[in-house]
Amino acid sequence: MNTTSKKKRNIKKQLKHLPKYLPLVIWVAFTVAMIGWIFLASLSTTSEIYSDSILSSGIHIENYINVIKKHKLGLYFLNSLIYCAVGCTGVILIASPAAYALSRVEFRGKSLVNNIFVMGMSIPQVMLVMPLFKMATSLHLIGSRWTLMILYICTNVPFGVFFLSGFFLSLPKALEEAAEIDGCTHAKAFWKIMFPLAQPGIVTLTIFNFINIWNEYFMALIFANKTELRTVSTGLQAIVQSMKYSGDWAGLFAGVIIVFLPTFLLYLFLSKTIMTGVTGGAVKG
Amino acid sequence: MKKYSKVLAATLVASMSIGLMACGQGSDAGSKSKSEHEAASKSEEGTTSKSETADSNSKSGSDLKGKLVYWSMWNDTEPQGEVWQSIIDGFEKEHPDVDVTVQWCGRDNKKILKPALEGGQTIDVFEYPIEIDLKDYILDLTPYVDKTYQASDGKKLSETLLPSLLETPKSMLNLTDMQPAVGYKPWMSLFMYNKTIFDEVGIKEEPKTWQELDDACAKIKEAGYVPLTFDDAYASWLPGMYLAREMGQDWIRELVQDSTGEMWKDEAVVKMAKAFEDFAEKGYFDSNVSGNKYPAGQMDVGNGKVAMYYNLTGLTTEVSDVTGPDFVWGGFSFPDVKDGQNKAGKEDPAGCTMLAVNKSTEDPDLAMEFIAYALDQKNDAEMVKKAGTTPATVGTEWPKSLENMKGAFESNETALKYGADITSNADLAPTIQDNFIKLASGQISADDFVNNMAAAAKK
Amino acid sequence: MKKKKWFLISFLAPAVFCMFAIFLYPGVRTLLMSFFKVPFITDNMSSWKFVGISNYIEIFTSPLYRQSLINFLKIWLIGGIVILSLSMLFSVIITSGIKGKGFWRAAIYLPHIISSVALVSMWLQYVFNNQYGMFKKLFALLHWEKMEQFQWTSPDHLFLSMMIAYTFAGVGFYMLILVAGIDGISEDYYEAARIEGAGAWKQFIDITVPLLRDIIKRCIVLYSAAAAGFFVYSTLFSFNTENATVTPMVYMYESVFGNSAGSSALELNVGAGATAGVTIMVVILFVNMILNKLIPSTAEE
Repeated sequence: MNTTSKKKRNIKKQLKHLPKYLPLVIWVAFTVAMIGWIFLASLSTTSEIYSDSILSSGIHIENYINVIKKHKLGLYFLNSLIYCAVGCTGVILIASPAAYALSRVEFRGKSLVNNIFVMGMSIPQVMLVMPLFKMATSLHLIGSRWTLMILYICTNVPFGVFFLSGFFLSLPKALEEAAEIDGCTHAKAFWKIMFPLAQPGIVTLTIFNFINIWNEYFMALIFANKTELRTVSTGLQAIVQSMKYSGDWAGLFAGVIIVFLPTFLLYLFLSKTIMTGVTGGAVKG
Repeated sequence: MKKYSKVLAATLVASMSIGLMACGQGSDAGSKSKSEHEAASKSEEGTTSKSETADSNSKSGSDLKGKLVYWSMWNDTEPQGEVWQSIIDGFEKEHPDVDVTVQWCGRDNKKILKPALEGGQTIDVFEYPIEIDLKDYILDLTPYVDKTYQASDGKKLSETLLPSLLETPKSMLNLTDMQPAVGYKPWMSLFMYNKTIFDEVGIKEEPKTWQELDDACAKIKEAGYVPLTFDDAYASWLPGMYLAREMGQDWIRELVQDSTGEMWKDEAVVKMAKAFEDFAEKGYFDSNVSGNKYPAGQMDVGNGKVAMYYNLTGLTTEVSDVTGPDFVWGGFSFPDVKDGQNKAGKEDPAGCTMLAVNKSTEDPDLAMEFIAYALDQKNDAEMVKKAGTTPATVGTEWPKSLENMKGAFESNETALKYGADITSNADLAPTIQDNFIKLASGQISADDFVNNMAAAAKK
Repeated sequence: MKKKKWFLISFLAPAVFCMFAIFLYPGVRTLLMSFFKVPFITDNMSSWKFVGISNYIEIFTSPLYRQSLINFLKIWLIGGIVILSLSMLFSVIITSGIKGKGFWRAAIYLPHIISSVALVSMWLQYVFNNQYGMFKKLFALLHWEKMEQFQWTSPDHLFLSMMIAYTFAGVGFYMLILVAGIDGISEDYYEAARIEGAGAWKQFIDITVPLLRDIIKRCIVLYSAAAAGFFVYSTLFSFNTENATVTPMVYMYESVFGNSAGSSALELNVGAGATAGVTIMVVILFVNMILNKLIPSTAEE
């Protein structure tokens, strides 16, 4: 077989694929057009947006300056980061020992404990919110950053336990057996040997939790209603509302872009890791 | 402005002060030291001891001290928000030991205030959103409005404020035995219109009857403008007001609570539906009206495409960025309809923005000092000037944008609720909104409207 | 032995405590609450008044709640079918040996990581806008008059619009899961099928679907949970509570925190909100039960 015919066959093969690209191209083109236009509109004025002539009077960076100056977007980002960091770390610290114990140690009532976690995961949020609110009130936690941190940790623990115990089961037993022969306690063997070995699983879980917590809205709406406590989601909602009231559409779009950009940039660099994390988290559960 | 409330207010102020003498023996212990306590202790009790003798003097001379948390219904980007910010700055400057924290909730305050108050968050002063019920959280201000404050210039607060601003909160919240809040920025709900368009097409008189409104719309449409529009958020006010002109507000309350569905087949509803169906057929409503998401419709009024919009007088401020300063506003009462009550110009939704004090606030006097400062003549004038709102204090000039509506404020006798309370049944309100939007955009007929509503109301 | 006990306790206790504090206790309390009349969410149990099933009667006679259930079922069934089929379509295309697999996968997944609020603002303030909106302009360009005048946000179409936006955000997530699943299927199966002359569709039905059974089931479970907690899109698409967008979660929120009791004599009843939660939970349990019957997982066979 000579090279030209090979090429031809290749082209032919690709041509056969062509219709497959169509839905992908439409979908992605739409995404680009939407975000692209929002970006351009965020650099225009409101009247230009309404009169269909965006950018006609040059670039208006001041929309961005206004949003940043008038709203505490930096604070919202910081809050979200804190909630995410504390939430993710907390989940790992609480869930991984439990997952380890459940996957490696035989004890009476193990299946009961296991079932409790499975049950926990199947209770929808709508069932939990009201008593949680009552609890937060009696503990005087309303209006404090702790509330959301604790909630984000605790609501993600059952899934973390479930996910990580599957992961620990897949690790070889020989290592910690060797450690125990050396005189390590169970606990030590876990923190010294198994925990580092579980790194990939922990990273996956953390990414999964991170995205969930970052985009969480309902609890943030109820439990973090003060400006200083707002997350990016609820903060952006406040910006969108206030821009609507003052009829500042360009500013509204600028706010949207400011919130979108960091996530997007992070995604550009970490898309592979993020996607593995999300898939792993979702499939294993 | 003062006419409709003058008599009532006078009697009320009188009866109030009598009531005060009776209950005014509470101790005034610890009104200052309280601020030092930790914010955590907020039991539901401890409020009764805070009410003070009505005639106790303000702490003029001794400076104020403490912390205040104000949850605002404004956004800091709105003109009102900007004025409030300068009020807060001014208050803090005048009283260096006072620290005011503001929470810009925007109109989302109706979503977040209640959870926050239930959760015992520290909120001292807030704007009471009439959409939700917070009467278990507010302090009775009866003893406080008759006190003098540093900012009130030796006068009682009740003397510097327009009398209606003490009276209206009571009627708005149906709380007659207490002073639930202090009002500012009185508003009415009127047909707000673009006077330039009216002048251009030659409408000389503001419509007083439905027929005149019809004629006006025809003229506007002929001239190439859109006569009417509305947003989803306020859609049900139009049918509400039409029914109010026919049967009155009480009847509407009955109507929305009716669980048989029969009341919706009443001739009044049919006539209302036919009237709007007729308007829809004549093309008086904007073609986008079915898809208008608040505030799309009011923006259309602001940018001169649409002539009329039935809304609160605060609309002028909300769209001021789009209209610019030279836009001339007018406003007229919802017109009378055939065989109706003939209450146009006499019964309109009216009220005010209400500043309430949390009953578990630590230092009610400080909160009241803040309110008194915010509503003093200077700051009120500032609010009127910068935000174009209606004045709250005696003797303050009206803003240019609302001057034409002064008459409507003065002639009003009875204050109705938003949309004559047609949304008072939360279960049914979304259905009324849906069906009216469809009716006004010509998607369903008047008969469909009546049948849909009757079916939805039937349990 | 004692050591082991201590180890177990120290390792399990925090997680088990979380479970009890955040899931089991609140779950049981909500269940109880649904049989009581509770005027305020912060009321202690001692002030609850037992009312039997009257809360259930109350919400099932409420047109708003019935509408919220209908919306939930529509989101769950129709939305689920559309979202999962689209995800399946994309994942099959992406794994069929096209060029730039990584790029397409990343690009389609992108919306899922954007904050919902930002995404909804883009849809609502731009794509669906009835003056300068993308769809309006697009159909104008195509001279498709009827669609140009289409009011995406009118009461009749709001649900559709909301679901389009929701689909756009959700497809990427399920696609990602399915792609991982398909990638895990050995190429040998397809090779063998191709030798037997099976077409793409036959390969999909005979190989992909059966082998992905567990993962498809997982997707359905995940989607059901998401549908039960449907809230953000509803509140962002509506200013007031609207029939088109109300869901049980919104209903609960309204009856607990937002009841417009300012003028009417209606008494606030938090119990009704609890009842809404319980009914949704029952529906979800029922769905999962049926799912387990219909698609037993491979591990159990």
